[in-house]
Amino acid sequence: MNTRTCCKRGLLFIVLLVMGAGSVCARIMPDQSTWFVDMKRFSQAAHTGLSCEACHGTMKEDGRLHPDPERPDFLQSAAKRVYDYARCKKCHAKAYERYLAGEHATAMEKTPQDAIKTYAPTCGDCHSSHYDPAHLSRVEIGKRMTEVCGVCHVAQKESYLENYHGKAAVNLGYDKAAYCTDCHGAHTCKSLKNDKTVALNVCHRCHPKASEDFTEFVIHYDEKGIAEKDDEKNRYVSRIHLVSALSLIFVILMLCAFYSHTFLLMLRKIHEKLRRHDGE
Amino acid sequence: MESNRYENQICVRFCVLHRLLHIGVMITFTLLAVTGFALKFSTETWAQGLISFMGGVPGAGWLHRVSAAMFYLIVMAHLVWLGYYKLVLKGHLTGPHSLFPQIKDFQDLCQNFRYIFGKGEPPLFNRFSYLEKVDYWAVLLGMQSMGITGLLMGYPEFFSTLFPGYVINIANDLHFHEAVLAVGYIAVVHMSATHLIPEVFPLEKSIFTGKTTKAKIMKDHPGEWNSLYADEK
Amino acid sequence: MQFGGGPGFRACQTASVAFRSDKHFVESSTNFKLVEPHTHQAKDFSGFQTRARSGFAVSGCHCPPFRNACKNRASRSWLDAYGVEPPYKCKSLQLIPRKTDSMKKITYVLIPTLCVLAVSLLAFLSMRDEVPVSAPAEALETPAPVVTQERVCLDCHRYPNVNTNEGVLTSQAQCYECHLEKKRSLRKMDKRTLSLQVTPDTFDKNPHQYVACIQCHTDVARSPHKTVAGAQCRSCHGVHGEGTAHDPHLRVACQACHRKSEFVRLDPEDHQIKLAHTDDKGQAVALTDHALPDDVQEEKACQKCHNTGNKVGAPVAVLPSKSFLCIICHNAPLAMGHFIFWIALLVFIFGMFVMLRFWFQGSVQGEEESMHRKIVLSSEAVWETLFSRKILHILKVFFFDILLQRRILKESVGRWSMHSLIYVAILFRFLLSFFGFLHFSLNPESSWALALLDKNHGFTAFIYDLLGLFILAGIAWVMIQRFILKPVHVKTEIEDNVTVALVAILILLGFGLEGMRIEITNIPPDMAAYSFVGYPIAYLLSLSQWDWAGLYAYVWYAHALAAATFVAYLPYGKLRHVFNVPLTYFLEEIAGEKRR
Repeated sequence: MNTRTCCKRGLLFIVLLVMGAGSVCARIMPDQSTWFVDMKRFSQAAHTGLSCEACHGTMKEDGRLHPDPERPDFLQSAAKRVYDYARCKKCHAKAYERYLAGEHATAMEKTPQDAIKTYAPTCGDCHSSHYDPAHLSRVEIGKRMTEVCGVCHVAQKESYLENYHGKAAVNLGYDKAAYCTDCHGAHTCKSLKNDKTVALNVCHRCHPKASEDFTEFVIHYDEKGIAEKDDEKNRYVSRIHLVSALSLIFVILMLCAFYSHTFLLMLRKIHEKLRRHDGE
Repeated sequence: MESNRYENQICVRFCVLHRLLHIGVMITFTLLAVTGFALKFSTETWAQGLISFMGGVPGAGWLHRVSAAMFYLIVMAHLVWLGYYKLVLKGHLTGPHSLFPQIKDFQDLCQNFRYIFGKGEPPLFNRFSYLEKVDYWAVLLGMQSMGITGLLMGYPEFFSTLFPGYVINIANDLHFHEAVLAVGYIAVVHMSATHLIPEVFPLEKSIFTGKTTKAKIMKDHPGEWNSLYADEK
Repeated sequence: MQFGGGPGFRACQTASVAFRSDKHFVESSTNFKLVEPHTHQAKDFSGFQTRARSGFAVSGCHCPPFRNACKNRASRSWLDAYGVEPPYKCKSLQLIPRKTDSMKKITYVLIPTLCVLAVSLLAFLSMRDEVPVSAPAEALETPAPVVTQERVCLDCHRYPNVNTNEGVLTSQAQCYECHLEKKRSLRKMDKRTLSLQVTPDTFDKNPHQYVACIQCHTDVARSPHKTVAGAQCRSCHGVHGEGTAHDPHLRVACQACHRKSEFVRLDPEDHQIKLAHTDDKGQAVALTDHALPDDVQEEKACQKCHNTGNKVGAPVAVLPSKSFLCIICHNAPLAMGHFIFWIALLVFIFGMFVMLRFWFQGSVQGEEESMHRKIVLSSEAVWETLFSRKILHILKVFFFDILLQRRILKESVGRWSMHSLIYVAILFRFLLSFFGFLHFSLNPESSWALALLDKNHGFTAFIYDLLGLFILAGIAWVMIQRFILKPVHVKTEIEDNVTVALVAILILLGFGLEGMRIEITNIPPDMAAYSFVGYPIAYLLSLSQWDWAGLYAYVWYAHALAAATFVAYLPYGKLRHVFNVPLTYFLEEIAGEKRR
């Protein structure tokens, strides 16, 4: 680093201190689905005690040596699609069972094999087998979960974070507020929109006195996240948005009116004061 | 000059109860705004710091609710005082010297705009100017709407038996918008109209001391002056 | 000589640190020279070659010069130590060496001899029915049989540290395994077959030859093996400012200018201009040469996009960069731009000089005659004011009377509002632009700097449009006052009209330019909507079928000419008050202070 860069860096540091503006740093992080395993992170992850073969089998397992250019799907198959997740069952039997009983597995069965873009997730899509750390706290798990689920359920993630549950649980780390799976079930990931009694059971976990009407409270009230045919919810959401928009317009109009009144009055008063000052 | 005669004559504008209530409103309003906005903008670092300073989500939530209850108690105390004023002191709750809106307020507003655009004299306010009345009614009415939406959000299990569940969503939005309006109004309009205008800058003390000078009443509230101290002239 | 912990190793380590800051840290010349980045001292490891040849095992050293030494056993044992399989060795051995004179000698003299030796040795060994553990290094130059050795998973799947030379080499070797052969690197793309072959004879000529493939192609090392994001330049390189290119180029991908391929396209998805994979005739273009042009600053490089009938929404003409003088209203680079700005600056300086002379015509503290005495006396007075308590009064005057225009407010609220609409808007535009310029110079990667530089960024587009509209409103008010209402106290002179007209033309042309820019670059409405003045203008322009891309340059020059005239006219016309009035206020304040 020469003197000029030193000076530049120093100045930059001062400017940043003054303004509290952060710089965008480009970092190279190994993507979770690359060919490569970052051993530094793997050594701190939950599966660090396992050898490669324990999950992936040997390189000659299916009778051919592993990097095999002759295979028809060589370099074409998505690693996460072709992995045999039944291997996870060996240790995570309960989670595997719940997954099979859940919404994602149902969706998986309906999805055509070659549909890459619309696939339903399996174990590896939510869990990083190489890098997920062990023994996280409830809050840490919850925060990661919001990110992971939010990769596909973008609108739901946003509306959840707009809601009190998300703000308290994720933003402020309050472990008694609900994270995604507290309502939708870990590994089952059930949708709650079809059956009010199911939804009510879920609400009862924290709100024991809730009645069936309580489930009409719309947590994911972003229009993008609601199916078009879900008429009831769409009606609710349109009403919410209507009232909200009206009140927002009211607030803006009121503030504009009062602010301009105050600004103009202040101008006139200061003008008069300056005049009076001159007269004395 | 005539006003010099009254420069040192002190008269009481706010009684002790009103001073106390104002200080109470100041404190609880600030606490409500801080805790509320910290939750709303909980992605920001300052908000997270504030909340953890107040003891995390439960602590901040408790503070918000307790402040709201205190605020409402203050409003109740004020309403009780109004009854006392009417029944025991035989005062008038309406009329030119009350906070009740008058046609004259609208005329004052028009006159004030004429003055703002340099086309006339400032209006002759009564005991309370129209802006002061807006201050008062904004708190009194705004408090009701904040209270109702706040209760809806605080006890959703109960209120969802009375209303459809999505009303709580509406309450959530209204609560936030109303809060923006209240804080935006207090921070700019109320502050500048009372403290920043050149005549009183930097601080209007009468709401804390309760006392003001006759000269000031004569200037700011000439209508009141004319009726109250007309005989002194 | 122990390489593991010797001085050579240290040199290597510092080298890899410098590598991250994009310095070419190593000049590998004939005989394995290492240049330390700090001292620039070359360390000669010429002796190393022979030692290594004799079978010295090197471990823990990550020296690029080993690329040259790949022919010898030492590097092989290094490659072994880092788990790279023999097939890689073969490839890298054939490819990477940059043949130097001495190496040529080795090649011409030694290889045939050694080949003969090796073949006879092999024959001899096979007769004895014994296979050597690894073939001699030199034999690998010939198409030797691939030595099959049991691989373990982490031989390939360990994430290479691309900040070390070892990682760089590993990464390159891994990619070369397929991309070296033409047959294996053919890919179908839009029903056309494209060759993704990369060969060292072209790749090693490009400045990125010491960079790992996956450092730029961040998303390719996966299955399915394809890229979505393309090569990433900004993980190492910062963006550059307008010094060489206008700010709308923020939506041009680096490669579009900085690669030799002359075919560009507009990607409708992210609205970026990128290199095209097909040429004019729809034939597939392979971009695997990694070749960079010699000089992107030449006009020829710009004509890739800036030509008649281009499809990427570029104006037809290549315009000069903005001038630093433009910083009064725009983000500007530290350059003078077109020569008219030089003329404007000279005229401005001359005008200031004339004005200064005029100021010094009067007497200074009783001195009437000597100009030198006047300057001495007045500079002394300024100095004394600056370093006394008077400076506080000056600052007060500066804040209230100049920034907040207290004296005009005292005269009339209307005049204050009219003047502030123009003056405050220009002041804010200047402050924003100056802040943007400063911030960008210090930290071009910061999100603030990029936001202020980007004319399409919501905040920047909105605030500049709003402030421009303020100026226009102020000018309109002035015109109504002077030409329609004509109050008694307002005297209109020709100077006033010229000034007002100049500013009005400047702003109107500016808004017109903005509309044309939005129209020809075809910015999507949700982004353009923040330019709430420019976007409607763009819509109006789009109704007529004029060649706006061709016309843009003329309007741009007209705007630039108006701006240059504005700057040049500052010390002559009514705009002189920008300098005169504050000075008068300061002098009055000091004089008043003295009287008190």
